[in-house]
Amino acid sequence: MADALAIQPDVRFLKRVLASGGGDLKKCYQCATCSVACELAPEESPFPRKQMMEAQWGLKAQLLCDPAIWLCHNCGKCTERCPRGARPGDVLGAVRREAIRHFAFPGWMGALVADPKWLPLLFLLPALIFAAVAFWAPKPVPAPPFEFGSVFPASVLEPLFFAISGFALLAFAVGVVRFARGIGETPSAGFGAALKDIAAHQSFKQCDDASMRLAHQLTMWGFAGLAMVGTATGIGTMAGVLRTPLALESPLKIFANLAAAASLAGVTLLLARRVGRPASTYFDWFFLAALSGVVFTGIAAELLRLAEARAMYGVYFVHLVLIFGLLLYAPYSKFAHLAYRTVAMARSRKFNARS
Amino acid sequence: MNSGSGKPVMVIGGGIAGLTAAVELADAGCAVILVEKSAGLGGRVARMHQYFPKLCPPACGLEMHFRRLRGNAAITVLTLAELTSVSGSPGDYEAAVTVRPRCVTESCTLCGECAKVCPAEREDDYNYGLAKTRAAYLPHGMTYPALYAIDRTACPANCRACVDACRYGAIRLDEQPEVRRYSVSAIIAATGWKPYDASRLDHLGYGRCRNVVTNVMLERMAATDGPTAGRILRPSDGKEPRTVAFVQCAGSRDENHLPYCSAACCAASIKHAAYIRALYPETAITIFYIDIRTPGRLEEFYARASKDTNIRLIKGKVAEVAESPTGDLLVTAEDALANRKSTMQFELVVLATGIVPQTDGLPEGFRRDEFGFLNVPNRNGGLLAAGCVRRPAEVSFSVQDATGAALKALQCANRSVSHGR
Amino acid sequence: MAGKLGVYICTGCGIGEAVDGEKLAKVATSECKAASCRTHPALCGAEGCAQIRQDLAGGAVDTVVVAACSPRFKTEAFSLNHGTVVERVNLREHVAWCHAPQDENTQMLAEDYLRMGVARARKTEPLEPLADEISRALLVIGGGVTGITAALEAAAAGYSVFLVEKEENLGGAAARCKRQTPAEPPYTAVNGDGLTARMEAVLYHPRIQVFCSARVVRIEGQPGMFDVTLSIEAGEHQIRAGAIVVATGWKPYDVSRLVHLGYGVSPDVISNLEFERMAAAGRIARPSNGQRAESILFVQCAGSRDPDHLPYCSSICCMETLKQITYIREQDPEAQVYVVYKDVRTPGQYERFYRAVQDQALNFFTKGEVTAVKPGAGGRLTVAVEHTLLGESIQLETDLVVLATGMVPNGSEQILNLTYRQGPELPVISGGFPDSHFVCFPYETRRTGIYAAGAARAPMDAAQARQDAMGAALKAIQCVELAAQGRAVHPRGGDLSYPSFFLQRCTQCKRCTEECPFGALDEDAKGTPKPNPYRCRRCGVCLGACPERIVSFKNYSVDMIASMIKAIEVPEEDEDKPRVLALVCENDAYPAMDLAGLKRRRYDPSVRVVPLRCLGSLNIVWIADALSRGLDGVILVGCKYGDDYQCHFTKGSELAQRRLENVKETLQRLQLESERLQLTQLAINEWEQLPQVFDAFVERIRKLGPNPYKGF
Repeated sequence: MADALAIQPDVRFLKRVLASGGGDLKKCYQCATCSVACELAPEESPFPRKQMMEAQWGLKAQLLCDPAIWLCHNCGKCTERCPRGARPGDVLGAVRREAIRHFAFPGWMGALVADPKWLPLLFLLPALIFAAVAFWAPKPVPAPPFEFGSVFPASVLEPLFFAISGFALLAFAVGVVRFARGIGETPSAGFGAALKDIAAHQSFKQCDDASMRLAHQLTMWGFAGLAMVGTATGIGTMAGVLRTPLALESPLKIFANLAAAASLAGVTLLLARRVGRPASTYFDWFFLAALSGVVFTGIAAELLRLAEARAMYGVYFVHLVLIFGLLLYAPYSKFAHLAYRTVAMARSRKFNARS
Repeated sequence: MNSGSGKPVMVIGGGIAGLTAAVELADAGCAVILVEKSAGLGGRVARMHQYFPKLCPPACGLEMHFRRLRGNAAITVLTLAELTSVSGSPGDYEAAVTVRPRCVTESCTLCGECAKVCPAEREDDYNYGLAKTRAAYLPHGMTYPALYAIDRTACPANCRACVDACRYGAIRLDEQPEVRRYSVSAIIAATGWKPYDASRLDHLGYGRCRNVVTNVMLERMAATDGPTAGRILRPSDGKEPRTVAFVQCAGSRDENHLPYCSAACCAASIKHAAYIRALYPETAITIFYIDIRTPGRLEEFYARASKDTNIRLIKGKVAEVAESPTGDLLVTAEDALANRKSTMQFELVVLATGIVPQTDGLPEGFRRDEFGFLNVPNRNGGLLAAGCVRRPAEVSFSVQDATGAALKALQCANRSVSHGR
Repeated sequence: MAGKLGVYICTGCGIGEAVDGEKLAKVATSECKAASCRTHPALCGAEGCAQIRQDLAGGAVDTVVVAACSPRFKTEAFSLNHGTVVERVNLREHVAWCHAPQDENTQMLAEDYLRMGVARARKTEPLEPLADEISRALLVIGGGVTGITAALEAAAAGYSVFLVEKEENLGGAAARCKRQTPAEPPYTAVNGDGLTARMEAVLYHPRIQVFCSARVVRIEGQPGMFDVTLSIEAGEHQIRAGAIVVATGWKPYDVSRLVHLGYGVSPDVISNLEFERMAAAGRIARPSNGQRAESILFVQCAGSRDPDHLPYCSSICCMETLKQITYIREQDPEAQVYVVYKDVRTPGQYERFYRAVQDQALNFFTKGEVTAVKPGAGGRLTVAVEHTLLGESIQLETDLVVLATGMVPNGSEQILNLTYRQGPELPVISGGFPDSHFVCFPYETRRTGIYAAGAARAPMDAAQARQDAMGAALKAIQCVELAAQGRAVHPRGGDLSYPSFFLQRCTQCKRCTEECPFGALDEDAKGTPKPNPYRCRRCGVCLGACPERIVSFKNYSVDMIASMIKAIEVPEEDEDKPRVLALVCENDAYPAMDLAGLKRRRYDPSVRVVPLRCLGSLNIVWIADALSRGLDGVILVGCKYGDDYQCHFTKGSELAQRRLENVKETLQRLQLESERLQLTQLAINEWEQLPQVFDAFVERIRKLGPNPYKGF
């Protein structure tokens, strides 16, 4: 009995998984159809059959440190094929949510973001901040030329967003380290291979769902572009090299607009996919709404600015609030999969074998 | 207590459950009308090569039943007949039976001249479509009643070849369907089952891969009087398979197909493995399962198979079957106990398809459960059900069930005569 | 008897083309001295049958030999008025359809069959059925679910029932359960199954007499007239019953033998039965301290599916455990429940219940093997489980371990106390179950008129036991109804013949009383057999066993078969026409031969087939007769024997094989090769092998050369 694993179900964890999208979990009778249905599941230690077992038994420690939960790209084929109606895809989603919450730093932030009852608070905070910014702005009653900076000066916004981003990065770093420690002594030489896969969305290709891959890839690259432009612009303005608004023909602006267009296309596709999927949870919607909100308000704000409509300030205000939320809450929302999945892939046997 | 003067009991279905009910009732002194949809009695079991776990031929038990039917005045057998309507109450039902034309009378001697000259073919349902018979056909060698039948739907226009060939004047091509009415005391629906439609199991390769067959087809291949004369061969090239996979729960225990367990398929596949072991001692067999369900004494049957080094049991459901260019099958499953997924190559794949209650055309009054089985309690009613139409089961359970239903029917029959005991 | 023999030869279905009907007719009239012989091109037709009836009615004929197709066909057409002996000679399946037409050998075969048929007809006497006063009352032993149902349902069909229960109260194992597993839609709700109401109904039913705290002391007699002595509180009580249903149920497997699963390690390791009692009594708690069990672990297959304990699956334990989990849930929604199973066995619609129970948050299921149950920290129990679905061996801390023990049939010890020569109880096969043909004829036992039902017959749940009880009750009713007509029960259901014993010549060798597969024969003090014809299944094993040839049926006797053998013409040694006698089982081998004929398979025409009721009725004198007559070999074809025997009389070909071994020794003394005798086991569907079996045997005989006794 020495090397036997002592099992102690974590009932609270189990109940949270059941309550947040994994409600059919217990119906699983371990036939392993899911592990076969999943194109991403490797031959050695395929998922999600075993993960279903661990989830049924509330084995939080085993599950949350299992890279496999992140290797799932949520195509839903296992759920569709499950003979028992146990919805493994949704269960993994719920488990991922628990993982994000579990590794959150600081922990209370994880709890805050996970719980819909705190939603107003989460966005009241940035709303108040940006209202204050606008209140004390140099030109309280804006007049032409229409510039966002006249109400929301870059000198305030840029440091603010750098601070938020810095905090988010720190939170990510702590979470990822916690996760990586949890995984234990597995090699991580697969980092390069994992990044390559992510860049090209190769795993999605295996998922056999072209629309999903395209949507996800457009969104990811669009946001990556926007993040780069944002960072560059931020640094540029603070260094006094750049001044916003950028001219439409400037390469940075062209790049930014292209990225915005990609994001728009991506989130629109993602939203379209969600429609009619009853199993989507608050957690899913939180992330997707923030994401698409940022894109829609960003583009709307830009268009309004170009049209010199006064409403641009209001829309921009919403845009800022959403960016704030997206960035600050990223480590605690579904956004975090960006970090965890990358680490999981890098530490998985599959990508290590490939490198 | 002999209810000879009471109203007869009607039994619908001449498979093992119906036959048992009919013969047991008749032996208890009760008149019976046995109504069978096809041209001969025996139902599904007649198409089986052997029973589990004794690996004995169904014809052995069927012959005992047929012996009791031969010349037995207490039992009226109607073939090509279906119950079309029922009215009345326990002890006193009015049942209408539609009898389709056999076009062959009792004068038939089994000489077989009609089939010899018959120019037309029909799909052989006895062989699950794996073979063809002439339009003038004998359902099978052990059939009862021992009479040919003519499938008029397969006859060419104006063909009278069989009529001319028959030396005994046994053929009546102009026979018409007729409705017969019977006054009966009780009706036992023993309409049995049909195999789950494998064409709905596309992911398991049926219809897409040539060498994916169903368990009932394998049963015919193993049978001496089957399409391959008892040799189990792959359909694509007639080769003896050296590797065979059995896919358990093909459609059963599946909310997308049959949510219930079909109860007999585990032991059936173990039996099929035994067929293959006996035919081809070198052939390696793999059985993919969720749970092996061999209750009671069937456990010992399973235990024997599990000790056989040529039989591998893998806990893990097959979820994907693909075909290789050579016609071999690529079967993917996870061995859940080893937590390993692999794609294995087999020369033949057998889908253990399940049991679907056969209630087509059964009149109102027989109550169905959520799965379509006639298992809704009908206390003191005279519309009874027995065998696989009541719940999925193996032969011995069906026989038991039918004998039990026979007593309920006998009660109705005895109530239909006055008695003072 | 047979004063005026009428032989009717059909030349239809190819018989006329294969053999010379005129020559056959000559054999009938000149050799066999038939009073009349007619040939007809379609004897089974209206005209042919009318001719036979007319001859009978006119008195020209009183015994009929129909030489046409197999007796398995046209039964109705040729069944004449009661009392007339009709003998069928199979010229179609066994001659015309499987041998070369217009061939000398085929003709000789047909002529021999005709001679043999006539010989048989001449030795057949009209049957006189048994006619005794028959009791139609049933005795049901055991007052649990099965017994109560059998009693009530038989009574509802109009029969009187005596119900005997050893305990003070009715209800048996089911009554001690808190609830029953679901067997009806929607298959998810545990509930009572109306047992209490049925217990009441039994007690007050006018046709049911209940004896509680009673036992069967002794059963004498036979179906239709079982004299049963009961021990009741007031002393002994005599009843007479016609048939018996054994509904003695089951007992749990002895849990004290499950030390390896922790029984005895702690009071907190209990059996499922103990758990059921605890739940029924009220509160589920740890027996050690009466406190709440936060965590309960069920060990499935505790003693079942285990070669060291019960080799079979007890069938009910999976459903029982699921049911017991519902008890826990009612009392304690937060308790953790673990189930360690080998396979979850919830067949059919029961799958619904499994899914429903599984779907509760705190029920934890895994396949696995419990390897140890030991006391753990804080008074808890530590359970080690291997081969789990988690991919590793695990260890669980729990407060209560429930061993899901299985069922052991309760039907073979001190139940019936029959005064039979072959023993007091129902003979059992593996696992202690008393049935003899559990696939096709699950109610058949080796004691006529005694039917086992419910868990005494096979592991089953209460719902199935109720159905089973009805089935067994029907069989019992059938038995008394057939007995009342003097007819046999399965497998020769309806047979009016029965054996008679010419006891003056009996040497008290006891072979018949020992070998009867159904214990029909008792013995007096000297060892003389005492026939009990209502117990008899008419297989003829006694006839085969008797060295003095004193056992005979009116339509089946040693003399009859011997006469048939004598009727075979034995050609001279130099003619190169060997003759082989084939004694075949009429239940399986004979139909297989018919099928070989139907499929037009050819085999050697040297074989002369004589069907036997069962190969167990083989009397070795027939072999001696055949060989001394100059026949060159004897082949027996019968059912498969062994554990998975197919014999309807359970051991016919096995007995024949044993007798054959004895004969072979005798042969060697007579300088005759023992290879001239062979027994082949053949299933009914192995007709394809028949030609090969016969051909190979004839070939072997040819190699051995002619029987040296030819011509003596």
